[in-house]
Amino acid sequence: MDVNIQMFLPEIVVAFLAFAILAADLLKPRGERKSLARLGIIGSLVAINVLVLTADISGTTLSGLFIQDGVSVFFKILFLLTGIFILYMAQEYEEKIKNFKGEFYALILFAVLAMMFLASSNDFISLYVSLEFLAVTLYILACYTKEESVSVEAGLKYLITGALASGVLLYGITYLYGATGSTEFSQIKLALNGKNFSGFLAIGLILVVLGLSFKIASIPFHVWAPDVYQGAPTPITALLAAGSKAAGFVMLMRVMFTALGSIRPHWVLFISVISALTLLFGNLAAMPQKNIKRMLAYAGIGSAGYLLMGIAAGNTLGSGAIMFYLLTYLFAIAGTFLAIVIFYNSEGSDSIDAYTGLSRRSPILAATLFIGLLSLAGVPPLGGFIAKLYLIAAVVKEGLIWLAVVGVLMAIAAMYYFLLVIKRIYLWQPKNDTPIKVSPINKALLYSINIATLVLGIYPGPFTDWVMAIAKVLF
Amino acid sequence: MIPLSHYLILSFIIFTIGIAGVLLRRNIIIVLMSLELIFNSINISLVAFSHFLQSMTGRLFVVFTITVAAAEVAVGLAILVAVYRQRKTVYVEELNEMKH
Repeated sequence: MDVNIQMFLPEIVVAFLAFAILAADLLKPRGERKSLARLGIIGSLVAINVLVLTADISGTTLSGLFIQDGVSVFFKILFLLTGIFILYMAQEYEEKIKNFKGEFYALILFAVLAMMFLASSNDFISLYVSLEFLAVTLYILACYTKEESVSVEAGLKYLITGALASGVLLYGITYLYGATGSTEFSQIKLALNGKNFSGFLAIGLILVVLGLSFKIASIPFHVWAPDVYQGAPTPITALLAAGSKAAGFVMLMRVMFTALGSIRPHWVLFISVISALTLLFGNLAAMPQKNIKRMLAYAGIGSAGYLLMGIAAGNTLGSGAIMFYLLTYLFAIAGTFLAIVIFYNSEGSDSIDAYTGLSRRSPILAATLFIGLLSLAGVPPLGGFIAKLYLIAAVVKEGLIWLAVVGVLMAIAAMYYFLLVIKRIYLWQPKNDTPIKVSPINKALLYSINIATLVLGIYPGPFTDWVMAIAKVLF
Repeated sequence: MIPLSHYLILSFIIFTIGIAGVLLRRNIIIVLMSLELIFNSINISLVAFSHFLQSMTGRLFVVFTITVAAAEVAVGLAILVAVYRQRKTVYVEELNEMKH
């Protein structure tokens, strides 16, 4: 067996870091654990450096289970950045969790590690094992506040739907294996060359897509999202929104483009219909929501619909657009959720009513929500607009005009419900107008996230060139 | 010799029973048992394919699915204990605290 240890050096750093946090947690006396989060953040920055330094070593290792290419490097940087934001949010949120233990930070890093392995999986075996690694850590994190009954309820619902979805996924993998005789993506691609489309292949294809729809929260396995987003601790909601969704899409891209790319005519309609239904459901169901986390859950389902447009397009433009969308999505989610955490720490509420007149109480929180939510809605000149534009261009290029029309209409719907929140924040009078304190570090971080979203929208050139260049390796 | 289709039909029947159990039963312990049924049905078809394709990958895969399913159910039972301590119930329909 060939083992090229340099390829997974960043993963080794993150694994070591997570175990170090677990050990340091035992050595520290009871009380504050914020220094462990700082250790995690510094360690993640080291891992990003190691990743960038070893990025030019590409290829497969561990008998084809593990692949390092441009796409995996992009997603690993994305996941490590997500991890840094989430660790920062978690240490802001620490006091809200009773019996807080340092293992919370270690589990977040384990989730990041699992997502990094997912980005590099080149075989259904490594895909399944890292998928379950991610899922099990997220089940524990979602119900981490054991004293709150909504949190354990969220955890249990997440676990049951998650296990059901992974069962469906595995059953599909079984049939793909039966049809092609291999579980490695490049071998499957070879086996499909010049082969007739068989019944086994059809069953496998449908079930694999349905099983993967759980991680990205698209129809039909979307039902967990609203409850889990609402019930989980807020930093974990952000991790589910930004990290878990990106992990789902890197899997989908590898499976649909690398392994099953040659039978695209057979799955393009299926994916397009799922995409359109997800767009319609997510954006229409978000309108009447009264809890901001629940509303963002439905908006997240809508986003999964947009990202699936890129899968349906099945070209370099589409997959590059998916990566760019996930990049802008990360910054929008990080800003919005950091603002939600700071607001919750001060007010103790997540309901949209409580946000009334926020601009008079804390201009920086209001501005962050303004930029974050409008970037999610896709308003120019913010990052989310460029990303949606590319996705719509990708499906138009493949002749799926009807899907593009649904996408444009639902962007307008998204603008409607996000603008309702923004109207409440900016135009309504607050019930009490005591200012909300935001610490200087939080302010600096919120400013830089907002600037990042603006830069991605105004000057996207270098970033889109980068993602379009690396998207080629998938085909 | 037993043909491949027999194994696949058996696996499909167990899979369907498992899915039905997850969707229809109200007791969460039985839901977790049904999830185990789903994973075992997959193991049957994986081993059957592996035997008929003369490839080792399927058999290797089964080792991973058994391990992972055990880990998943262990976490599931732990969460169920936490739910029971909170609510004193193990029935699905009583877990509906989050409606808007």
